[in-house]
Amino acid sequence: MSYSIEIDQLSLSYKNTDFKAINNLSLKVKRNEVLGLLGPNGAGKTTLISMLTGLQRPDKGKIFIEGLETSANIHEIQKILGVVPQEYALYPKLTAKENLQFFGSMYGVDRKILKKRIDEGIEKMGLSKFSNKRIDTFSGGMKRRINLLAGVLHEPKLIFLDEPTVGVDVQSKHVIIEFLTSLNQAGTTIVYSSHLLHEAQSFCSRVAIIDHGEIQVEGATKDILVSEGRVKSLEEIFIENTSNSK
Amino acid sequence: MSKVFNAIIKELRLLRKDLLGFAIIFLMPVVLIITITFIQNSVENNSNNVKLPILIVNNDEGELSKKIINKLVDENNLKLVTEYKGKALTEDTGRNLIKSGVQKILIVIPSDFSNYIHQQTDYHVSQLLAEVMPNPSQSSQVEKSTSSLKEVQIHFDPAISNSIKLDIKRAMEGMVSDLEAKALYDTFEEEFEADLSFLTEQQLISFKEISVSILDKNLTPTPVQHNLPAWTLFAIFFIILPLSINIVKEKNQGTFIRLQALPVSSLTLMTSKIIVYLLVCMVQFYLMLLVSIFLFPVLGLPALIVEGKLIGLTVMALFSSLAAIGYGVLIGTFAKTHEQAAPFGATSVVILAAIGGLWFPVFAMPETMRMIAKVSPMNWGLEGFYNVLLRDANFISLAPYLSLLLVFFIINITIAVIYEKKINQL
Repeated sequence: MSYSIEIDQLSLSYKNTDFKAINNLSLKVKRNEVLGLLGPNGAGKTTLISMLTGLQRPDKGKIFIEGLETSANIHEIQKILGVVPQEYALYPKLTAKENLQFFGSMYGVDRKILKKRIDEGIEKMGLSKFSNKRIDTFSGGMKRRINLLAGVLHEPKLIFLDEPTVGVDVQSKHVIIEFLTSLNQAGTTIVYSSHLLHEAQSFCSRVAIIDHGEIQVEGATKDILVSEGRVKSLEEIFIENTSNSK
Repeated sequence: MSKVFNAIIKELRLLRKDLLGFAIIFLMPVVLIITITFIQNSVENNSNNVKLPILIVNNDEGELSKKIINKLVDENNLKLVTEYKGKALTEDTGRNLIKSGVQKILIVIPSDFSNYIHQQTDYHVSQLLAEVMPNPSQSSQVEKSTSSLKEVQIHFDPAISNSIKLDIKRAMEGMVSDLEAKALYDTFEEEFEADLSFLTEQQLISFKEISVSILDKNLTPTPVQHNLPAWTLFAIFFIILPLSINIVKEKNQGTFIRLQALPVSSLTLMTSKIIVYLLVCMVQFYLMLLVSIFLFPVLGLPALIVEGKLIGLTVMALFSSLAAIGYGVLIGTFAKTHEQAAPFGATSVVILAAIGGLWFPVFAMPETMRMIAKVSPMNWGLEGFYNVLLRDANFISLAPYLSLLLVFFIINITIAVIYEKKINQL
C-alpha cells in the first residue's frame, strides 16, 4: 500500500515552554483519501498542517509526503502540494484572474495551460462574470471559492484545506464541496481540517480526531461512527473524545 | 526567471491599483524639489526683493551714525524702521517690540557716538605724530577723551537664527571699523593738508569666486545644482516607506502563508520587489531631472545643467536607489506591523539625511559627526552626485562611492534573506 502522507512520532513544543503542541503523533494517509482532521480549538490541527506543508519544523519525528522526507526535499514537495489556508490568501486589490495568474505562475504552470485552467476553474466556481473584478469587491463565499482555486491550479497530488467552507453561504459551500469531490475523483488526496462535523461526516472517507497534540480517534468514517453497537453521529464521537467531555 | 517576471507583473499591478499612492510616490519628490529650490533661490538671490525690517534708535546727532545706518540698510537689504505708530521709535518701545516677537532686530546707537569716534581718532593721531615728530610746534596736542567707551546695542528676537545674528554683527563691526579708519585718514589729511582719499576710495586687493571644476565654462554653481543631489537622494531614500509597508502588509495578509508554501525562494520574491522599486526610484529621479531642466526656467529658477553628465548622474541614482531599497527590504523584513515600519523608516531617513550632510555641510560638523557621516549611505550618494555635477569627476573617482552603496545593499539584503529563512521557513 502506498501512502500519500506518513507521519512518524512527530513532536513540537512551543518555544521556551514544555507545552507540546504536537505530542508523539503518528498517522498515515492513503493516496486518494479524503482525511478529515478534526479537533477543538488549540488541539494542534493548524500546527500539524504547518509542519506538513513545510511552514514549521518539528522538534522530533519525520514526515514523508509521497515518499519524500520533508526536511530534505521541501521544495520538491511544495511543487506537488496545494495549500488552501483558512484566511483569504489573496491580494485584495488584484482581480480574481490576476490573483490566479500570479499564484499559478509561481508553481511554474505553462502560461497557456494556466490560462485554460483559470478559465475552467472560474467557470466551475460560477464566477465567470466576476473574473475581472477586484477581490475586495467579492463576498465571503466568492473569496473562498477563488481562495480554493488559487491552491489547486498546479493540479497538486495532495491538498491541505484549513476550514475551506467556514463562514460561507450554503450555495458557496455546495460549489466548494462539489469541486473538491471532483478533484478527489480525479485522484487527488485531500486533508481537510474543519469544525463543521456534519460536513466532515459526509465528505471525508476517513477522520482523525486530534486533541492535546495527540490522535484520539482515527479510522474510516463509516467504521468509527459505529460504536457500542449503535450508529452515532460524528458530533457525538467528537464530544466523547475531546477535552470538553473529559 | 519567468517566476521573477510574473512576480514583477504582480508588483506592478499592485502599484497601479493604488492610484493615489502611485501619484504620491512620483509627484511628492517633484513638489519637494520645486518648493525647496524656489525658497532657497529666493533667499540666496533675494529675487523677491524681500527686506528684513530693522528698528533703529539713533541717539546720536552726528554724521557718522547716519552713515553707518545708511550703509547697513543699503548693503544688507534691510528696511529701516525709525517710527512706531506715527511716533519716533524709543528704546523701550523697540525692546518691547522685539520681546513680543513683532520685530526681529533693534539697533540702539548711543548719544555722542560721532563725537566720541572723532575725539578718539584725533587723540590717537596726535599721539602718533608726537612720537614721530616730537616737536610740539609741528602738531597740535589733543586731550584724550574722558567719556566712557561707547556701546552700540543690538537686540535680537530669540527666534532669529544665529547666522542672521552673525551677519548683522559682522556688518556692524565692519562698518564701524571702516568709519574709524576713514576718520583716522581724515585727521591725517587735516594735519598734513594732503589728499589721502586714494587710501579709502581705491581697493588694493580684489576677490573673485572661481569654481574649480567648471572653470572652463566660467559658471558658478546655482542653488539648483546644489539642491538636486541632496533632495533627489532624500526622495530616493523615502522609497523605504512604501517598500517596507508593502512587505509588512504582505506578511500580515493571508497571502503570506500561501507565499511561504510556494516552491519559490524568498530571494525570488524579494528580487521582484527590488526590480519594481528600482524602476520607481529611477522614474522619480528622471522626473526630478526633467523638472529641473525644463520646468525650472519657466518658474523663473535657474535650469539644471546636465551637459555630458547624464550617464554619471544615472549611475549614481541607480546605486543610491539600490542602497535605499536594500534598507527598505531590511526594515520591512524585521518590522511586524505597519506602525513599526512607517515611523522607524521615516525617522531613520531623516537621521541618515542629517548625518549624511544633506542639510548641513559635513565639513562644518564636529569631528565625531564627520566620522559618523562617513558611514551614512546618503553621504556616499551625496559626494558621488557632487563629484558628477559640480566637480566634473570621472568614473574612477565615483568607484569608492558606488562600491560602498552596492556593499550596503548586499549586506542589507543578505541579512533580510537570512532572517526571513530563519524565522519563517523549514
